[in-house]
Amino acid sequence: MKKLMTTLLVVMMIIPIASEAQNPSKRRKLFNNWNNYEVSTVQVGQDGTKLLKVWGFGKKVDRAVTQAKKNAVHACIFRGIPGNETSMSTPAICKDPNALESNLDYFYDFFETGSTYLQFVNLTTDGVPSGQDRRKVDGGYKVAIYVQVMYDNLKDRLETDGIVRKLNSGF
Amino acid sequence: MNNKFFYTFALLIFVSASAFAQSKTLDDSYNRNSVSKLWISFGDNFDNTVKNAYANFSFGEKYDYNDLDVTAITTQTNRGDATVSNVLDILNNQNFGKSIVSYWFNRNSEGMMNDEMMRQRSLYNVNDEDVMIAAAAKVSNLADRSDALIRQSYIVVFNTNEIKREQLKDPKTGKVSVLWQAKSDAYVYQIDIDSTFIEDLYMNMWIQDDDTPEVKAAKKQLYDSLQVNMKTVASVSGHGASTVSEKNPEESAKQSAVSSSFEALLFKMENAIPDWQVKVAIHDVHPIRSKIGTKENLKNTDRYRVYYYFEDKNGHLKTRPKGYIRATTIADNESIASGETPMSRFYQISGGRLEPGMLMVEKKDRRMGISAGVKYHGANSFFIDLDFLMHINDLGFCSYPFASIGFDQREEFYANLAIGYGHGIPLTRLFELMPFAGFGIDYMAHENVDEDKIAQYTAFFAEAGARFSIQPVYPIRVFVQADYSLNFLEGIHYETGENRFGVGLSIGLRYAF
Amino acid sequence: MKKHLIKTLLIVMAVGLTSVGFGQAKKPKLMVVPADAWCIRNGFVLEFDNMGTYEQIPNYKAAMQYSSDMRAMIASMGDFMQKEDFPIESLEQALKNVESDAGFDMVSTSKSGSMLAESPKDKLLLQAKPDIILDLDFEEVKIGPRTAIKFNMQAIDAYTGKIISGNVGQGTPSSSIDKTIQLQEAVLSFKDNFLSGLMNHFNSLFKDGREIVVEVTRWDNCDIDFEEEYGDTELGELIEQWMTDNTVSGRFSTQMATENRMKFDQVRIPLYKNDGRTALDARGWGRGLAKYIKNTTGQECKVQSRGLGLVRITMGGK
Repeated sequence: MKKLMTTLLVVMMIIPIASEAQNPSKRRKLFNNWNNYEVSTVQVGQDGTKLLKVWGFGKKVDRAVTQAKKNAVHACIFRGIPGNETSMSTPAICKDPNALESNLDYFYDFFETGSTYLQFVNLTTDGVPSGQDRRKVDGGYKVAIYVQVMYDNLKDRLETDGIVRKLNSGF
Repeated sequence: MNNKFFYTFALLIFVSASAFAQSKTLDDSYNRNSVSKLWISFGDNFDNTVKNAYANFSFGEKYDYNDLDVTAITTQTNRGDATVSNVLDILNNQNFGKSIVSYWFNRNSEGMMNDEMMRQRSLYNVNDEDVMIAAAAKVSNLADRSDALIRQSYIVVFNTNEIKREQLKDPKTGKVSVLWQAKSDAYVYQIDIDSTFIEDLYMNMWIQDDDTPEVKAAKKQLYDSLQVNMKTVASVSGHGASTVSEKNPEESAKQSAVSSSFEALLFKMENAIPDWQVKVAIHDVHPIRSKIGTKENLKNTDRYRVYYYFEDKNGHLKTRPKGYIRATTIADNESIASGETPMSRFYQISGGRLEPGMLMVEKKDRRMGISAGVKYHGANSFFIDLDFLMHINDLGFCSYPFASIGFDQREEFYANLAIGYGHGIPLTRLFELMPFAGFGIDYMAHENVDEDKIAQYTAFFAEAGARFSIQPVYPIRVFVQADYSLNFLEGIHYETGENRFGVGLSIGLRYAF
Repeated sequence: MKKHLIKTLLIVMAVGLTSVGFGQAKKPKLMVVPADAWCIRNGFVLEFDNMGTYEQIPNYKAAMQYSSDMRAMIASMGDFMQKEDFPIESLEQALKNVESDAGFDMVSTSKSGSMLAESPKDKLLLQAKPDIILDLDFEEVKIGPRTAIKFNMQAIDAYTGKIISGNVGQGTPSSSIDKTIQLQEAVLSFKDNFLSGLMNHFNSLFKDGREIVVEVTRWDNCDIDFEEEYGDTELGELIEQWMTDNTVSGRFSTQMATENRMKFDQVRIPLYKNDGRTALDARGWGRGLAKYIKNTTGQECKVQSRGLGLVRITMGGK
């Protein structure tokens, strides 16, 4: 019995460490991509959405577009989006500056390529990024895309998943 | 000879390669331009002829037209004395800039304006991406983007500054022929306003229905006293000539000379004014397609240069050319973009691998090629061809009518003139095989040949062959050619030189322009 | 041992559930009220002569009856607040309730001359008791052939009058879009910034309590003043001590303290009473102070409130 308890304890201690350590290089890469990108509001979007122009970097254009989509969702969650002369700025959904670090596993899964984040972003670029929105840079491409982010749905999802508080929580 | 040939070849390659290496920054936006056309009346006998040529001149579907009340400006100077700056002064003295603004805003005598035409033009100018973005926006403002279009308003003034009649006398026969020649300039002026001008006009001169009578009067007066200047953006020239004959009498030849002097002006204006060159993204490759067509006056064989953007080490944005393409199948896109605009097809004629999203910029050429070659065996030891690209299909098959002159120094000197047709078959982007056929006339030079006896020293010939070429760098091709020629209907004094007909082998260079 | 563990667990769960159930503060009420500037600009005002001075006061009823634009804006705001589970209080309904109050007379009450005179807005707010007023102003601006909606929406804490969230901007100019769409665009433009401001405000409420202003004064005929000593301590000090004990983290600021009058601002009161269920407003909280003064001095106190965030306690009789 004691042995069993000891084994269980050890397993319970190892599981979180293992999950924390999964793909550390991939995770580093995921987060490094968020060090520097540009995002701006294009116009006020349809109900519940944000219409953004966002930049992304990748070795190939496709990858840069994928990264730009992630950046758009990332901006809505963590950064907020500056406004322009016809639309007000949009605040970040997560106001807690440590939200990413304290929910690493959740956001790792959320932003994994082809994962949850895609449910909240629609491409409104015609074809691939073109002209000045498609730039060859050292090591790959820097592209800008126009996207519609389902901001309200995204916020609902993060509220439902307990990442951010609902406006009415506590009442 | 061999050295010269080598140096010329090397120079051409260097020049072309340098053209490829330049990196500047191109603007990637294109908006439809609007034009008004005027001609200059000098009050002389040629006015009517010029007016007719002016009336027949069309800018095509690519441009919107600002129809001004006047079509001509008059000047007291003599034909030939009007200059681009004189004309600018006349336009500004008569406040043509304001007439354009009034036209855009459909201003009436009471000073009321509306944006009906602005909205139509704005909608007609948008592209599919604009439509897709607008669909995602709460307020679609596709019809409200005409401010940039107003700034791209131009006046083109046609100045036929030289019309002359020449009598040419043949020194041998004494026969006199009459030649009409004309030189016409097109001066292009752009309205000199910026966004603050339009803001000022909207806020201080645009009469609103609910303005008080005093405010209305003040706004009207402010507009009435407005001066809007034009600025010079380009000046191009064209020449025309026509010989009088039975079928082409004096008046007709004169008209024809003036009209033909107008012909190449649009081509030259478009090459001189960057804003007039269509810019669009490559939408797809395999085949290359993009969303332009008849709305942009796109025609089969029209040439576009493809660029890509890059950031240099300092993060500065630059453009670098990647290759040339030609329009093959043209889409009819003369409607307001809906997100599903039909696409025209293009064929790549030079450069590296093109990718969707690269920028295509209109760079029309004359679609001509000049070739010079030497023949090691056959009718001409040296020849020059001038070909014209008449058509290109989706697979890059090209139709080239051509004319050729050749010279041959044997025991006698021979010169010949031939016309023919070649069909270019692209093997890869670099290689082309062109079967061709033609016929011509070969003349054996002889001292003291009377004109009426020339026929006795000539022979007709037919030729057929194939030219294989490689394009080391656009627009240069190096070719080898094998052909077979056959002479017939020889004049009685014509003597065929040794090995002048039959199988021929040539080598040469072709330069496209 | 086992029984003891289960017992402990059950106790912990019960305490947890109770605290969750009791921890629910009363949901703040929000109400959109047309800004005075908007009412005046659009002619929704009542005009009267206040002893020789020409005055205009907003006529909310007319505004709600005749301005479809205002109704469209409120409907759009109501729509998104409903999704946040914060239904907006109906201004129209509140107006009806106020009207049914026999003593309601917009003009006469507003010029009663009393220091605590209540304007129609105050009366409306007292009746509807919104915690947050959404003061909405917008206008159509003409830019040549186009029109754009210029908006200014301020969320104001009804207790303190402080701005929780200010949202000023202008929409997309257009000459062909229906005005209702442009109004909706304005709402969408400020929506998330406004919600974010609201969230910050709520966080502050949970953390630091509700902010009110407290005035304690005495009637002229009251025998004692605030320098009266009880034990070795002046009444004023005792009141400050009570304030320290009954505010969240003892947070308040004494703005003025004389023998006749004391004024405290930035007073942070708990969101609900000690029972954890009953919402506490300035008046309710003020009654506690009045009771304390009475117990200390034996003097009756009158408790009056203005709006939701100002309470005045007058010592020396009701």
